[in-house]
Amino acid sequence: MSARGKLLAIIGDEDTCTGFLLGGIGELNKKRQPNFMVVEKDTPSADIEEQLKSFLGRQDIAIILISQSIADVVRHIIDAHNDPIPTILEIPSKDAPYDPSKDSILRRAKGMFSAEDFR
Amino acid sequence: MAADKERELDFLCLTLLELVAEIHEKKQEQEKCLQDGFLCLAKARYALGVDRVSKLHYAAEMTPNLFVDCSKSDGDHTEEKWDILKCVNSKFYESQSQEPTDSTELRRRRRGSEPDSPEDDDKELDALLQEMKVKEKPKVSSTDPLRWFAVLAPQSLRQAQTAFTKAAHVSCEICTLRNKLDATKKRYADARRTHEAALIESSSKTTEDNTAEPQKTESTD
Repeated sequence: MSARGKLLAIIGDEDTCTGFLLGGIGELNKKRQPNFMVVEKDTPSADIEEQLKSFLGRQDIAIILISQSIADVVRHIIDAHNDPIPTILEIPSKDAPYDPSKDSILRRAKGMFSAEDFR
Repeated sequence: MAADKERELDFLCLTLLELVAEIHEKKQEQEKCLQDGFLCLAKARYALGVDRVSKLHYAAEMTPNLFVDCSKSDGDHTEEKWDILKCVNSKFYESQSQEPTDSTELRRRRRGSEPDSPEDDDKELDALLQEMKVKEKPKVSSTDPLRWFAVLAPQSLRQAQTAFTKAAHVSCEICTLRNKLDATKKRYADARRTHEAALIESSSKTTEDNTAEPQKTESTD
């Protein structure tokens, strides 16, 4: 059996998940565990948290793509996660365009330098 | 020594700012790919019907075609290494696992009393293979997700697939840049700490020298 790489997981609305699954990232493994989660308007935040924690615990997932609007619901889990792999990447959704002020990468970059550094 | 450290700190500062700018650019590229993908999905829904392109038509069994290949960056043992994430398709791993075999070569039989030169035979064979490649049409494989939604997928659905595949590739690039940013930040913090420690040490030495000199002049008097 040939070795294979790791997977991309996706947590987003129906259109986002459909698009990325169309791109070929989707998997249903032997345990019937998917690497995607379609979040509806009435999906409880506890379910989203549980699914994100489940993806973070899997060894075969390298990147977790999550819509920015859904990421706000589980911000505490995202901010607490510091491992390089799996990495959590926020993506814009259909309803909410990309907002650099909410992006976790750029927010961390904002705090990189202080006035002391340039003295 | 102090000047070298300061130069290193300046270099790392500039590298950090360049990385942030690159990440911002890639994020905008990702957003554009996603917007194109959403638009094409909407067009496909218009063509096929609202319920045809939805989660109701996801396959019961899914095999991924896109994977993430993880590797470490090159560099000294002194430099902080970061994880490089690259998006590859399933053929990347198939080609790695395939062993070279001779069974794919066509056998050539000797014709007549005068054997043809091997070069002429090779040329004929190459021409034949070229013809076959041109005649082959791209086929939709059985694992292609396009098949979930329609047997004859409209062009908009194919375009949506291309856009989201590109978005996945750009996402991997963003993750690699982020890992590089984190490694550079750590290196900057370490360099700053050593530079500050060196400055404190040198300033304490100069104050010791200053207090020692008046004592010497008093003793000579």
